[in-house]
Amino acid sequence: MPRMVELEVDGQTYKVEPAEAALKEAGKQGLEPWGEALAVVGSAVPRRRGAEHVTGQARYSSDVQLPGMLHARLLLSPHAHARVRRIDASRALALPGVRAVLTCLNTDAAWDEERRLFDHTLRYAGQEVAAVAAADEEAAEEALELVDVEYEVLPAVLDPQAALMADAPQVRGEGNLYGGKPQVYRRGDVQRGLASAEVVHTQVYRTSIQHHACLEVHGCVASWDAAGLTVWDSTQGVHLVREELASRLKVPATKVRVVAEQTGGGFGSKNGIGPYHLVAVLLARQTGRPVRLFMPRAQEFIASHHRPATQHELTGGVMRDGRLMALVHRIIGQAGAYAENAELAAGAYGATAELYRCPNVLMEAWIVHTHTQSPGACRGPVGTEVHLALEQFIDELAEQLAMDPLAFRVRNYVRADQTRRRPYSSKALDRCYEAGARGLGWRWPQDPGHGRVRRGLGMSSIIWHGVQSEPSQAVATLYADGSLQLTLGLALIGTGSETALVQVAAEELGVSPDQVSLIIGDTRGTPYSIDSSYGSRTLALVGPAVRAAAAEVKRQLLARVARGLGAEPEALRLEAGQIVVRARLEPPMSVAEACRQFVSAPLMATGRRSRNPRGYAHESFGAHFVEVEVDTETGAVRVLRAICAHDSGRIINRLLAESQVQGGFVQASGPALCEEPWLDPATGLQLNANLHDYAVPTALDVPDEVQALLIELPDLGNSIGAKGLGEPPHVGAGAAIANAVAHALGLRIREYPLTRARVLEALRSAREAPGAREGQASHEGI
Amino acid sequence: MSDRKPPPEPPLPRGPEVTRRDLLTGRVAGLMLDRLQGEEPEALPAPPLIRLTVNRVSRELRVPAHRTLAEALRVNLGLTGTKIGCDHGECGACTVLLDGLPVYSCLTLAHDADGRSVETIEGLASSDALHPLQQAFLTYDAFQCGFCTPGMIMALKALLDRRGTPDAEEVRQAVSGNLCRCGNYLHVIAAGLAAARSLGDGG
Repeated sequence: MPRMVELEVDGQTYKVEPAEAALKEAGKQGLEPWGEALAVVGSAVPRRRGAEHVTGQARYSSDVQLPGMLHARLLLSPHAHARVRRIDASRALALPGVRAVLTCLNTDAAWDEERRLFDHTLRYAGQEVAAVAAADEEAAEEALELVDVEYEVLPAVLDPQAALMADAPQVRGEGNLYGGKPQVYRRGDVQRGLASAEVVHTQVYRTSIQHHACLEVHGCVASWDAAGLTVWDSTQGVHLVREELASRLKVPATKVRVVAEQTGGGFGSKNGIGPYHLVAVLLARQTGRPVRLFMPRAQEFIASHHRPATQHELTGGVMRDGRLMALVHRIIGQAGAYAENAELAAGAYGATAELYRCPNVLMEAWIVHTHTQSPGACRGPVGTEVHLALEQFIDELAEQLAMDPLAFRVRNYVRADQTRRRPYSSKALDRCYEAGARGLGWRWPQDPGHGRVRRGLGMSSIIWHGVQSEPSQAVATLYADGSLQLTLGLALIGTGSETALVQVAAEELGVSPDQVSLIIGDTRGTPYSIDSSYGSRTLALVGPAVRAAAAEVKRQLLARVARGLGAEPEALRLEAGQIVVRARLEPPMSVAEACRQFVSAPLMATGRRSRNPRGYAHESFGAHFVEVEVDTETGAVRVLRAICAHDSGRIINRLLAESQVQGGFVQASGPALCEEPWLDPATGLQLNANLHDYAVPTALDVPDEVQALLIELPDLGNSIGAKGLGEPPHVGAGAAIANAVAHALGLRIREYPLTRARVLEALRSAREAPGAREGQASHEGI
Repeated sequence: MSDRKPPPEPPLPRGPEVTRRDLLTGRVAGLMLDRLQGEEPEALPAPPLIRLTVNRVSRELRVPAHRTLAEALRVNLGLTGTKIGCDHGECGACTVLLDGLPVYSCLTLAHDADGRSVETIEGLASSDALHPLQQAFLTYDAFQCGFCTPGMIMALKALLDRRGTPDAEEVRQAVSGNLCRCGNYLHVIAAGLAAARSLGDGG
């Protein structure tokens, strides 16, 4: 058993393992925590393999073209709920160039326990009905039109509220509430907490569906040969795709190779396999040809998963001095028709239970089945929606007390995780508040002005779960010329983790990042570094494995140098890239020089991530501060400045971290302000399934300034001190924007996105409401 | 526009199952592929020929009449640096320069480029040096997943070719038709301005 010590946080005593104890297990000889002065870690090393991108050489899976390759297309259900009464593919098969048509009549493959790949019953618009493989895209597309399907259209329910009604059509024949009851988190007694509170307030918030809208659509190229199956996939994780394909096809994992040299965006949508993978693989097997299946953009919207629409009812009880006494949060999330990813529809955990000191908390997540596509992980799943509601509600509670919303948050600051009763391995949210407020010039009360254009400041806190103990492996090979090769089983998805991992290895070995090359993006020959890059965990998960691998080749190198010089290995130190022999006169020697002199066969090591020290909770934190301008005549909201303060532990690469923060903020501004699918209530089909009308932010929509303030408090949880940064910037941005809009207008719109239409409608209702508050957009001129 | 040749009349098909519509809709390309692989051996007519200058090299290619320039570049010439994100002129990933002007190559028919000059991302760097835009994209980390990058760079190239010293607003406008879902626009704008300065200083 590890030695545990007592740690006091906020007057509470916790038992934790000293972080150094866990580091002692890392690497063969154990690792020391890194000091302050690091040579490579922390510097702005340019993105690895960037030159491929700027010259057009980067090869994405959608660029793969193989001899004899066929092109596949999917026929998707045009109805939210229907039965296939008759299907006839003979006309499609007769079309020149068409090689295969798969339907429920000739394909019995199961997709999961609930449905077949092509089912007789269709429970959402966009579910797979048939697939065609043909010599070219055009023939495949034309053949789809020749698949004759007679549908029996059945009653559908698209709205979760309606689905909970007694007379609603049953999506799955067992009640529309997933699991038959809500998921619950309870702490203390909210009834007593609310009764003891001096002010009790309730509000309801609604968030919209968000589509990932990756620029590279979902798809893959599948090819069988004597060695087995090879799939070039647009994915966030080659190993997870391999595992899932092997298990689905009942073939050994060693017979499946998955390649993803580059992936054009994932944001949570490209973890594991979808029906399209299986379709491509089956078509390839049946035709004996490689098959390429990439979705047309319109299908991409409806056939892939999305962030679900949610409703949040929040009740809070506070004391006049600002103390939070009770929080009740009821979430209704849309699970879609199948139980796929139901846990991503809503959840009774996270920010509401953790972000503020509060003795009494009740969270209920009502996960409801509707005749819609299932939700999927979308950058900060569940958390983004919860923050959008909670962080506005916190603002509203402060408003009830006439308190500065920042001061209210600070008043309820907490230093330990109340849900698991553990101290955090690191938490610098207080420093985020301080730096962000200073950076923006936070002031309270605000003066939005009285003209047509109003200005407002808004802020939001951020909490996002960190990396738990899970295994990760990395292989390092040091060659006789001093070059280091890192072999990693992960995909390049644009986060820049791979560049940071190169820096970790270079730092540990005392070489320049230019001396480090990467083998990556292929299951063949790579270790299991990560199943898939989701959950903001690639760097904090794989980084320690990379450090351990580099440390081990360093140990081997130093042993060879010691032997060569006739010195004791303990007398050798690697400092600032130079090998120094203590108490001897040999001049310092670079790693490359040492390799040339003493290494003949390459040195190789597999590094494994050691577990997290016991007793801690691991989370990333942050606080966003924004200034917006709202045109009361057009309803247009413009974010002028965003100051994004993040506690993500040690920052390995400042430049790339800044990109992550800016990108996360910009992406999250979409569902806060402009992105919204328009669903046809009659069919459940998306009417704006294109990148123009489903308005993702453009260069014209971004603020002039999105500043990343990276608060560097190295985390105790792992040997590189890093925490996640992929999702946190996305999680908090929407609420900060919405709070700023509320402060600019003096009224709050609780349904998102805050489109021009919603802003204008809110202003109109406020104007027409009897006894409209003074100064609440009721001045003359609008 | 004036010296563009109309696409040549497709020859009549000989195989019984190939219709004139097949030719126009490109079925023939697929059938040709089959034929090359020794299947369905009946002789089929080739798609019509076009001549373009691609990245300063003159190219001849046989392209079905309906094929877009984006597909022709990617499939016929293997120049997959030009990306297709939507195929409907919404995302800008397919931006190339046609006679120096930026176009969405997914909305441009290959035959409309007959006799004209096309510049793609693959032609931007010289043999020994990156174009200042490419260098600036690296220095400012102006991309994440990189899928929008070729289109972004070509849109900016068109701007810098016609306006040496654009301001930030002009750079922003120049890429307003290019979506970056990773949201890295501010770094793109910074890179565009830096490249303009670098070109102004004589490269």
